[in-house]
Amino acid sequence: MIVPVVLTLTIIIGVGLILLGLGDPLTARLGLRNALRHRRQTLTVVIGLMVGTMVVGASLVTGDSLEAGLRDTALSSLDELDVLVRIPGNLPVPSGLMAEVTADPLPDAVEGTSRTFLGGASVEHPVEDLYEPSTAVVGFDPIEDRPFGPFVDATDRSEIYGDELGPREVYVNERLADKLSAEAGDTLTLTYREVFVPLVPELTFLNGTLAAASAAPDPTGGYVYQHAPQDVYETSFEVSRRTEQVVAALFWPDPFNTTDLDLELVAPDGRSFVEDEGSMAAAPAPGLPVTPPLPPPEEAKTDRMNPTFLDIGTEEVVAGEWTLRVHAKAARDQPFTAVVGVMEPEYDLNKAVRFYESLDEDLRDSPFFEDLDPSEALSGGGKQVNVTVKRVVAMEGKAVFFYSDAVFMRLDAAQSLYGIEGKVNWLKITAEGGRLGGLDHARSIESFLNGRLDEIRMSSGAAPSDPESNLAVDAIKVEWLEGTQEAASVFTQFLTLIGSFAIVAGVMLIINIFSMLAEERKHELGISRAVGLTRGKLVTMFTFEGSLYTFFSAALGVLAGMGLSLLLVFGINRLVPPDSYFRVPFTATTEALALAFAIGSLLTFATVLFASWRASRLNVVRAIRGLPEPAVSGREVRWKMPAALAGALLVLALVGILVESQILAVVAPALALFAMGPVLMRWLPRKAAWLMASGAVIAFTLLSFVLFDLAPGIDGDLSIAVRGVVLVIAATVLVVHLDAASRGVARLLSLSRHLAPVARVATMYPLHRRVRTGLTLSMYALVILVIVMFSVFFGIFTPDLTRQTGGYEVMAESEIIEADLVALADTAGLTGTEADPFRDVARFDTLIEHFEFGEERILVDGEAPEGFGGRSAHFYGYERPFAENNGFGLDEWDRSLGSTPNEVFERVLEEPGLVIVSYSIVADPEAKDGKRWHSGATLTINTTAGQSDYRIAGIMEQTLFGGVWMDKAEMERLFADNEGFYLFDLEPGADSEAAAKRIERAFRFIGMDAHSAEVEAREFDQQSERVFQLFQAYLAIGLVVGVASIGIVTSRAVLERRREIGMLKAIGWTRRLVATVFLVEVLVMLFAAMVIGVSLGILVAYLIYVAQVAAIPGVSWGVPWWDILEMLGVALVATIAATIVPLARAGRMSPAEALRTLE
Amino acid sequence: MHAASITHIKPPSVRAAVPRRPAPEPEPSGAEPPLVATDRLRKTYRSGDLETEALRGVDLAIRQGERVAIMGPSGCGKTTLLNCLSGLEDPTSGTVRIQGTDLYALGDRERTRFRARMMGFVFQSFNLLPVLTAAENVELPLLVTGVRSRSAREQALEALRLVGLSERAEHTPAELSGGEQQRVAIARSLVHDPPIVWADEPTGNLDSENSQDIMALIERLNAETQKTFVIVTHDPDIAGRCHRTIRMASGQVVPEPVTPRAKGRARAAEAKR
Repeated sequence: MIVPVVLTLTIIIGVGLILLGLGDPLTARLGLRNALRHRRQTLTVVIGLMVGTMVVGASLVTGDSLEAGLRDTALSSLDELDVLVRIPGNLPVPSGLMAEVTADPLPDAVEGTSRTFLGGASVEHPVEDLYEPSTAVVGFDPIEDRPFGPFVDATDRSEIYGDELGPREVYVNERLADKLSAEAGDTLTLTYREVFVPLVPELTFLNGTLAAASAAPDPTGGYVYQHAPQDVYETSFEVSRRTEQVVAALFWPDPFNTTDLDLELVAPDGRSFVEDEGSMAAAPAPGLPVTPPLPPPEEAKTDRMNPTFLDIGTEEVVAGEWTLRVHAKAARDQPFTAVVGVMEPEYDLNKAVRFYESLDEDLRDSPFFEDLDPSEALSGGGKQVNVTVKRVVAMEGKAVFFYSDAVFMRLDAAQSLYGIEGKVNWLKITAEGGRLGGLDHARSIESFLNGRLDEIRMSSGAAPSDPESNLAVDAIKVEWLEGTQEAASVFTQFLTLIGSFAIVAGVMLIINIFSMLAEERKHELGISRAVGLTRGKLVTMFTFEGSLYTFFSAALGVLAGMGLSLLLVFGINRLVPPDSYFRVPFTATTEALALAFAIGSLLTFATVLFASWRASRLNVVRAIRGLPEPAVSGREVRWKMPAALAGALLVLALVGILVESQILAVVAPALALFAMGPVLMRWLPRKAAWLMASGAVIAFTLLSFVLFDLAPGIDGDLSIAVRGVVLVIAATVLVVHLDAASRGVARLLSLSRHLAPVARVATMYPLHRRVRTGLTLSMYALVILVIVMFSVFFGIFTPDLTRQTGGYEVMAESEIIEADLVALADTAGLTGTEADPFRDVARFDTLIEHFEFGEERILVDGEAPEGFGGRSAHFYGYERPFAENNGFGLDEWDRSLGSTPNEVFERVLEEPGLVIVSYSIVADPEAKDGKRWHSGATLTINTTAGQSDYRIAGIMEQTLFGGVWMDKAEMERLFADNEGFYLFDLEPGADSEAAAKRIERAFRFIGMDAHSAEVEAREFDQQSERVFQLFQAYLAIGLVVGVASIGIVTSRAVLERRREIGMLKAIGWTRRLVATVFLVEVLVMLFAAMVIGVSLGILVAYLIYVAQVAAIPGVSWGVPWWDILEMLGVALVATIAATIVPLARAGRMSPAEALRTLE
Repeated sequence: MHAASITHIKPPSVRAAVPRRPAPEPEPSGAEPPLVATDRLRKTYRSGDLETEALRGVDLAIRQGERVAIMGPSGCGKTTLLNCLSGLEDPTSGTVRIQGTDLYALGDRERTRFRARMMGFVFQSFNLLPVLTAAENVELPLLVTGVRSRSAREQALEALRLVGLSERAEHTPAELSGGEQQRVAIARSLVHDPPIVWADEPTGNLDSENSQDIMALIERLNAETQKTFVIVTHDPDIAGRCHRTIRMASGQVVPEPVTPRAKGRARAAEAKR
């Protein structure tokens, strides 16, 4: 929206100027000739004016570049993949179902569909002794996958589609090959876990009591069989077409083998499956000796014992009514239980977990369900297979595969490895138009497929647990790209916000330059006015001149902005870890450049217009005679207008309070106080009036940081920026009216005999031109204030490493949860060896973690936390040892739950419904204590099965492991597909990186990925620091503006004061002395700007800290003095460097020439 | 030393007391070399291919205590001559000797110091620094020669007293009239007691009344301190109040036409002899 408006406005102004020029060619000619008269001066002016455009251009181009980088990454990651159909959690579904989804007719835009399997594995190259714990294994059908493009051989660049692959042959992408030093022909070992789809049984119970057989003592002292009952018990049950397995079990309590039981399942087609149990397969003949009957033990009466099983596999199962029968010939009276489970796949993992949780303990612990409980099945060891690298494929096209380490194999081979014959977990869809063009069709295809899925669900009558009901269509590329646009736009906004200070400085520079131009031409302007040029024409003349500057400066500004952006992009790329494929390409779009040009032009033009109006207000006689403007006495001051303005501003402030606009509520009263300056002049001397007004503005604005809570969002951000500008201007007004300070400095300088001649001249000139000095000073002070303020803020967010890592030195994750690492190390024969993973480990905790991706997975008091939970959520489950020993501090907690953080951690295990959250969940940078919610708030966790509410017991200080921390058992109840998370506490002095390597190597077979927690935390911290540095570098643009402006102002001052220079040289001032006058002048101004900028910067930062930040965990007040001094040193050197040329020119100036010019 | 040398000058009396008659030329002191002497002084300006000969071999001599006017039409080279004589502008050829010192044999630094010690300047547009008070402006030549601030202030006030402006010492130029500003400029030119004062159109920006005042002041200071005043002027009245006039035309010194006033001056000198 803004782009067409800005462009249109620029065009209107351009056309307007041309028409105005045609209507008044003389004025236009005068203006244009003025611009071209002094080429060198014009160049200086143009350079000064381009700052605004440069900053806007740099922000826009950098934002575009970042978006292009993210976009490229997204496009490369997905390549031709536009739409994805799958069940969350990548559960496999029958391949036939996927075929149904993509059955003809499909929209024309669909170019291809491919049923694919995606699994994970740890891959080892035994020869090189290298491994990669977390690798993607992609099973694809070479024919179906053809529309997604070929693989490219990394060596000979030939294009291949995978038809050549044998069952144990794979392609390895370059990324993985580099890590493993793998080449074609090498053998790799894949350690993986079979895919598990939980089967949930529909249970049918058959209970009864067996009648006892009778026995009688025989003459030999034994017993003889007398009677055997031939009881048959039966029940029927339904088997559906989805049933994969039918399992039956029979339990009876008699511990002795005196019962003959037959468990029989009869299929609808009459087939019978019998499990015969007991010693008496047939009824014994009466009189045969039997074991004497004993009274059953008490416990046997209640426990289910002696189970016997019958298992009907998929191939035997038919839909229809089945019969369960129990034939019993019992030795004594006893109860029995028969149970039949009709096993159907449960695609809702949470539901499956909950089913097993709800099972009677006897049943759950029985071998009957041994391999079926998902929590059991998802943990435990993996399988291994050796594969041969057929080719290493280049990191392009589909081989990029989300920039992951990937192995590609034939679909059937992958299905066989992972135990999911006939199933896949991904259905990829590519639309016509290639990598980018597919985007146009993705949404319509998504919508079509959703309709198709609805049809399938309707026609099959799918239950909520069926795969049909859980399949989801995802226009993955479109969504990813929308996310990247959002991220880039936020970045652009932030850059523009911090660049706005430089823009304000640039505007001040423009006004300054035009004031100087007007001052320099005062004489001729006076003459022009005297010979009949109206004030309006004068403004027009200046505007024409300014327009020419505007045009060239905007054009140059765009180029400079591109250059600046190039540097920023370079900086961003340096922030990216070297092993990452993410790169930001420098991207300058025509739209961004045109917008920067238009915004820069409008900004400059508006300022030029203001400066022209200001210049036109000259007194003709004084201008012609070169007389200075007379001081205005109190009585002459126009006070009514400022008084009215102050009143209007106060009304505006009230409006601000009513509409909750902090900018209005804070800034309007400050400006009203400013406007009181001229009013006060009626009763007070000019200087006193300004000192009083500016002092009041400073006091009020500083107080406002404490009085008003910072408004959320852009209003609050802008209010800080605007308050900064107001403060600086007020402080500048105060300083330029403090003549006493200037005289003090002069006196101080006079102590040196060398500086005595220059002291007074150098200190009095800045006061002589208060407006110009004020603008220059404000500009520089503003820049310093912003840099100091940000430096302080960047400094106070230095996290405490121990709090971040919880005192643990090594952290590790594994896809497979291994409950007993010690035993695993023992089994591997590592204990006591060099490679013993526990060599330096004092103790460790095994936790589980789970990552949920999707909208609003967690809510706090009904709202999604920002930056977390919105799109994803992380969960950690712990047990008592962790609760007792961890060193993660709590920032705040419900004191009724415990007096120490560890007590609260324990309490969470004891009391259902409690959780602990990391600070990142409740963080709100704009809240007074940095938190949006506190302990006691309700945390809602949304899973596919429904929602669960918890109370937040405490808030952790750390931000490294951001998420929800809860009881492990509770977490297992919520999520089935958890991963292992381990925290190791090392012996004092142990090398955490070496220990992490040992641990990772020892447990690579379960895919363990271990890191030094300390290094990780430090890197996390350094990463933030680097981002801060990047922003600081951007803020330094303002410094460049400040430095350049002082150079320009000095250059203009030298030109303007040629006559004085000539006179000084005539009366015997040496070159050095003349140059020193200007140098001291610059240094005095710089020093004043530094004092204003540094003091206000620290003060504002402190006030914001006290009012808004102090309560945020891990934050402590501190001023990075060295950084500030370093910055001031750079500013000093740069400023001196920028003024060397004009200073030298002043020194070199021939006195005769200087005097002749004006005499 | 400077203060001592100027304190014997009487403060200005009322304007009416200043005699308006041709000044008697100072007594030639036998073989004493002239204070200022030039030898075939030439100055050519180049602007691209265009060459303008501003001075075409000027030879002149000015004695200590003389009050000399340089007159001539616009563009004849008066100001260029003054600039070359005062060391402000390098001549293309020829020499300028001040008290026997070849001005252009000195380096820039030495020449600047020489100027600071030996010369005072009065300009048409006063050239006071607008940011300084009258006293501070007058102090400038002293400070540059290393005089301590306190002493410089005392001498500046004394110089202002001599030009009749002690009451206006703390006023800035903007608060002074044109005549007052020029008096401040004269005080500045004398405060460090230089033997020569160069005045380029010192009355050019003043009305006739103020011009007469300034010339009376110059005459008095010249008479009382025996300083040499070299005055560039268009005004024959001003020139008439000098001991002699150097006439310039087309970059050359031309003989002075015999006017009744000149005849009178010649007769007066004869009578004195």
